[in-house]
Amino acid sequence: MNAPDRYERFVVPEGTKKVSYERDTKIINAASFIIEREEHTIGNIVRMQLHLDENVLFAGYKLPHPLQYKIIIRVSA
Amino acid sequence: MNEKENKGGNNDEPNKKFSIWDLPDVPMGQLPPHLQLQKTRVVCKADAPIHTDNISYSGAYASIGVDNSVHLDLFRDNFKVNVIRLTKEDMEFDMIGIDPALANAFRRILISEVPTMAIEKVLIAYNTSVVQDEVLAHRLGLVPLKADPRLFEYLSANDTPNEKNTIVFKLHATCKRGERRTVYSEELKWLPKGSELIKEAGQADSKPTTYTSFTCSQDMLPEFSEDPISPSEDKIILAKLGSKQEIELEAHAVKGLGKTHAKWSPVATAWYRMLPEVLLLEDVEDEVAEELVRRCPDKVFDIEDIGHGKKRATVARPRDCRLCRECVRGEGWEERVELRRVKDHFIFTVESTGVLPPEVLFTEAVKILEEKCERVISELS
Repeated sequence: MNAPDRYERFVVPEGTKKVSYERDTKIINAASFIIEREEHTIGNIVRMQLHLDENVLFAGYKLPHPLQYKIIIRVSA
Repeated sequence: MNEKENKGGNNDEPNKKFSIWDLPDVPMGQLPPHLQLQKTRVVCKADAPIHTDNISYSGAYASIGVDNSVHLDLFRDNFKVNVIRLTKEDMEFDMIGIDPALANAFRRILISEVPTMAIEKVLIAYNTSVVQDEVLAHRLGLVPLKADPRLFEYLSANDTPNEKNTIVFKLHATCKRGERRTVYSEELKWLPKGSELIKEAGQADSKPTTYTSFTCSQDMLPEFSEDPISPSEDKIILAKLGSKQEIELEAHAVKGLGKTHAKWSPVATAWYRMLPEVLLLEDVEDEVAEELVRRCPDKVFDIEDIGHGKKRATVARPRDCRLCRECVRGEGWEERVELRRVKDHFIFTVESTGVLPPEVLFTEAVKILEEKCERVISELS
């Protein structure tokens, strides 16, 4: 009854941007990227690749809720 | 007292500091063997695996002076793909030198994001069988169709169904009086010219329209004229009919992704496992060797004779090991056998439902991963 439609998993609705970016106020050189309508397929790969970069201090991703189809990738250089 | 004095008591030299790195047998610039084991192998002990995390942080071994970073040219040199088995329906191949995140991404894309055609709308004209309408429609949706999804487009809610986005099938089955029969998927007949059911029109004088508007027949296209579209398996049971029961329906198939519903998944399943490595830590002889060979259900071990009537166990087929851990269960076995997995060697198995051959499926999955990354990158800039 409350479940969202299955096509919501990959169709980005009008008005929202696919990727948005917020700098972290408390830590220098850190930011969060919110990618809409993506999940572990992309998130894990991006996190793995970020770890291999020498300039990256912190990299991680999470799905805030399995029924909200977006990922947050946090990077700190 | 100075610990570094010689036995002869030569006290002339001051206490010389010596570095462990000057010892001849420690290789410079490489990891010591125990750290190399931790980085590249998962050790599967009897209760749980250890060293399962990937140490990919480039500064991980900075204190010893070893550079852990991975560059694209290093990756390109070390990456290998070996195809072990390739049939029309399934494929087993090895990928060496990639990260588990990539392997998992390919598996997830194969299962849910490679598009296929499957029956979505079923227009039922007549159904007097014991199988209810919705159950029959559900079963029809799950039938895999041998149609190349790359030749079709998606059908959205406000599009009209035409020959570029719909495939129409017809099923008409009756059962004679006093008999019983089974309806198989081979009775789904492809209608290349579109729907034959006529819509009830409001005005009586307009031309009768069907549920689809095909401008040209689908079998004019060269791909379909030699190889007509049909279900990929003939003997799938759709319904069973009793005496004088009849089913007449029309089914429309559209393109979709496994993410929306599992009927659109092109693989029966796709999975991967890491290459197993089995080591014998000490010499296993005679009766212990016989017992080891008897214990393993996958016949990983073999006996070899080393003369004087003594036998020894060797590891013959480590690749077949399914990690049942029978060889390390019980007292004292963990000191004799060690089970390991190589962290960057993946054995993929892809079983196709018949939509596309498995190697095509995998190349499509790679293209789709590229597209997804492109989309994210283009949004960033």
